[in-house]
Amino acid sequence: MKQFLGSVTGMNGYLIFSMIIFITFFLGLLVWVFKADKKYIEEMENMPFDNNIKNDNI
Amino acid sequence: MQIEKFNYDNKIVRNFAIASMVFGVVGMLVGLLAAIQLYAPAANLGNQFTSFGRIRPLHTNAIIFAFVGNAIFMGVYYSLQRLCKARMFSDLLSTIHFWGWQLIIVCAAITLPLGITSSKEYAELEWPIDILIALIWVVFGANMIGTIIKRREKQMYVAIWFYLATFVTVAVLHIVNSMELPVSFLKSYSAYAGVQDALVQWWYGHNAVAFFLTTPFLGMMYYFLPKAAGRPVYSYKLSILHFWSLIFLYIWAGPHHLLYSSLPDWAQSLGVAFSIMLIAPSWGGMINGLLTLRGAWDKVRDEPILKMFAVGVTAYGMATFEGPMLALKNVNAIAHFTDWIVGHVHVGALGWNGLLTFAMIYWIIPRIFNTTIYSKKLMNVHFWLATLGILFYAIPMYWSGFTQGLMWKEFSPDGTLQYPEFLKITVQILPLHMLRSFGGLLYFSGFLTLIYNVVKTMGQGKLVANEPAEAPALEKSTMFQKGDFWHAVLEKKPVTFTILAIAMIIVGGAVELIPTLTIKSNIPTISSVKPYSPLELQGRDLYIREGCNACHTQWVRPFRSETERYQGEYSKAGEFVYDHPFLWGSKRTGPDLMRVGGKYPDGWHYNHMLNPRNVSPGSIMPAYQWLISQTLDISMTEAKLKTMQKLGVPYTNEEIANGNVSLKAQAEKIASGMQKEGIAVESDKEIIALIAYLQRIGTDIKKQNTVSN
Repeated sequence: MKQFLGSVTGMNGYLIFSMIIFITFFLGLLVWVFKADKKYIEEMENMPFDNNIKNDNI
Repeated sequence: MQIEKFNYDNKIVRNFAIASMVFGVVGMLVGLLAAIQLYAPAANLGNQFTSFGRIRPLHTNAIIFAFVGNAIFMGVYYSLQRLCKARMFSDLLSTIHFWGWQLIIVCAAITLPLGITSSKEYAELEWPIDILIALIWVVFGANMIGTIIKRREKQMYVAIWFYLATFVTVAVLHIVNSMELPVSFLKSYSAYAGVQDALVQWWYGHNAVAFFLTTPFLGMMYYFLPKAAGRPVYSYKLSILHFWSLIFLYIWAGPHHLLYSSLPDWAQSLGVAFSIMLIAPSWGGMINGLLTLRGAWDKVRDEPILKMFAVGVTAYGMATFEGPMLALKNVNAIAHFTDWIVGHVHVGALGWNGLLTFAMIYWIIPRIFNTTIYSKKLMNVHFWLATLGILFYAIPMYWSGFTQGLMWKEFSPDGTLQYPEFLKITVQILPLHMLRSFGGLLYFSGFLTLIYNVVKTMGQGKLVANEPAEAPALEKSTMFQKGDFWHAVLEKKPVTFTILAIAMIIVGGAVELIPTLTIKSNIPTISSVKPYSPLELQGRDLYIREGCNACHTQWVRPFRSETERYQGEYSKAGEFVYDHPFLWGSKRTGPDLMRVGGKYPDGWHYNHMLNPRNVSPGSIMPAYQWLISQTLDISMTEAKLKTMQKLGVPYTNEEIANGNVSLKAQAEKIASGMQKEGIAVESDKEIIALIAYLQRIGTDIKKQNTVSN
């Protein structure tokens, strides 16, 4: 099976590159999530309950 | 601020609900029949249209795309309108979507029992239906995105992100996996061969579970669970984190379906690593769902809808923990091909998809019919029947899976297989299969109570087809404010959001697929491996028609227990280069067939297909007597060879032109050989072609054993 690995050394580059993109994105997300405005989060959480609408039965 | 009046379209929601219920009955009944056939072969009903290999894909397609699919559209059409404070973008698109989807289901219900199949799991439908699926899926997507664009709510709630990811990813998966070259109106060959086909198929198969059975349901969980519990989701922040990591990580994990196969090692390792990482986002969703019920457990005790959510979300947690465990190579070595996988899948399907669907139906129907549920007591009965049904289903399957996995591998002290006879192991697990079908029966009877309850509820209420609502118009100028966080901005821009989601899944998909599809050295060729003869190719198509790959693998793993049992070398990538499509299978209800070529005389196969119990007493394989009476259709031979040539199989033009001449010559030789054994068989029957194929499988490698790279 080593023959496969030897021939696809370029793979590492792909893999590391895509992981870096994802980890950067994820860390950005993490920072944002922790800094996020409480009011905004509350507003989002309650979106399914928005009672501006008469017939939303809950 | 201007208040706008509009109506929600409830009729489309009701229609999808009814379709889901109707096809749920069909799908579960067919499943029950298939389960019974696994211990009582007479339940194959003696005809080709209801034999196991043909109704197994009918069951899976009916459950996944008809029962669950219609439930997804029901839940999405209900929640999307309310979360966007807008009617669906276009009533016409809604109608086309509804009827188009039902047409696809009817086409599937007709073609699959007829044996018209591509053989690729959960993507069995032939090319004209594939095109129809793509078109209708785009109609759904256009209708959804149109609705999101004309919404009256600034932000897109988390449920909508899951819906968008579902739409784009399923579209990509379906198109890439359905690349096939038509031979005729109802026959095509996969554009990929062997290892490459297997990789694309399981990239699709795994992610169909992710983006058809998981993401839409997570989205619906985020809407309906808070509604039913009367409290907001436990952590909106967690939902953001787990959404992005889930869609990114899921797409990589497909190769865990191909461990110990001839898929390049790096791809297998990638699949394992990402499967383990997947626990985190999956459990993020489960924890978020269950903790939404925190402090509401008193409600859970009285409210069967919440009970269904609680058990359904727990089943999701169990299945998504079990999945990564099954992806560990050492666990996979025992579990793969066994009933354990069937148990695992059904914890997800019956628990997560089933119970959530039931909860949504019970929640939606009384509301759109402006009434209350007919009988809460019956809902409780349903909850218990479903829960017990899942237990009676899953536990015997786990037990059976362990038994199979261990008995297949057991060696006696003298170094020979303890149970060399495959059938002995099969007979051992039959009582567990009986228990499993009892579990299925319980689950199905619970479903019938739902239908009764819903019909009664619909009868006592009246459909509010157009539900009036009002909301302030969304003013573009106030949309974006200074100081908005970037994710908040993203939530206001559906198109940008969708593009980012596509990018997320494309990265993983591309890294996983492209090297194996393009780098030649990933598939070392074997010079003695030659294309199938015309007769063998026809036989292979019969193998596909009868769905033999539903129960038999063609994939000997590199274990001594397997090379010993199947008396040959483990499978090599180079052996499959002309296999359009690949036929590795995923389940060993019967033994592997990779090295069956030349193992038995032709006459043995004839008698075995006529009635398996003639040669293997106690066998649970269906009889295939129609193969003996039906004449082989050779009108397509030339077209089939030509299509293969276009796909890169090195048939010469002369071979193609003389296709039927050489087919007849080979058939004559096989038939006369059997006639000498005293079997009265004509050379133009289907059985001859099938035997030719069976005798060819996996034999090329024996001729010459030099591997050139």
